[in-house]
Amino acid sequence: MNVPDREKRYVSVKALKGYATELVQRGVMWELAALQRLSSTWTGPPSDHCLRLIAHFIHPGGAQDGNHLCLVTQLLAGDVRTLQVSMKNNAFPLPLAKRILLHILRGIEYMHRYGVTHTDLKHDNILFDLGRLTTADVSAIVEADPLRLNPPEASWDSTVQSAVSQPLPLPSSVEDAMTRTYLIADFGSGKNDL
Amino acid sequence: MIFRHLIGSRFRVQRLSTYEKKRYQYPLMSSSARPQAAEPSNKRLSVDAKRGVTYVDLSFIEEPLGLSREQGYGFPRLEFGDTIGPERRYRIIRKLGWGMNASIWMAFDER
Repeated sequence: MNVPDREKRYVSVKALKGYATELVQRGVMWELAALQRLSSTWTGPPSDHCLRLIAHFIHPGGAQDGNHLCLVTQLLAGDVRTLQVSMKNNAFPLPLAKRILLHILRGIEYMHRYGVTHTDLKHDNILFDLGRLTTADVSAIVEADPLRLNPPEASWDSTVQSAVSQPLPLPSSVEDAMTRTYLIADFGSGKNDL
Repeated sequence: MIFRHLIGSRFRVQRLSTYEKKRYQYPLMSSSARPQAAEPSNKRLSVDAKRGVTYVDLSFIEEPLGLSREQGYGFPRLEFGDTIGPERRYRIIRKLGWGMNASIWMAFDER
């Protein structure tokens, strides 16, 4: 696969909750199969505008959590909803809106060509890549933002402590956003249309 | 042992505002340096006297850990530094976010 070097080291792991993993295993949720179909190289070059699966595995959880299907993909920098909220007046400048739309349309065209219907297309599910950020840049970002945990919380039968979400920083400017590649992600509601 | 007497239960998963979140967060420190954690206050009990049912409401800052697969949850309880996958190849660096079906983590591919 033609993956730039920086993406070979840092990856993103989507770890499904036990309940969702069961739904995938019973064939109710089609996320894994959809990603596999869109990522396979023998059907032609995969699209830059659909999420691509690098690997997947089952991570065993505790008895009550169940197993976790983990989907490994390239590391991505954020989603279009968060990007939009960060813009002045919540509006994209026209050139950026056109870039995002063009990339989405390319992604949809590719998806539909291989018989995958998304059924949950929305700005949360459009992600963008790291642009010009290198592995060293990502390491620096990680080091500058120390790991955080939320305070302990009561749960069903124990006290739990979740990690604070620490996404990567948004593009620093519209010019920076114009260098990013936008792609369709989250095939959790995907449907087989063949 | 309140839970033993529970007949019904319901869960409320609630996203807090950014302002509220900030108040709750503190940096990861050694347990001795950490401020004394208050008793978790995210649990509310309520009683329906007519039906004789006690409910427990749980609200969570982020994904509801500890609710089981049978209850429709089973969120992964990964920790920073965990090495997961075939040959323990992926090292968990930080949590990027979460959604209804999963939590998303940045990992380092050790190969």
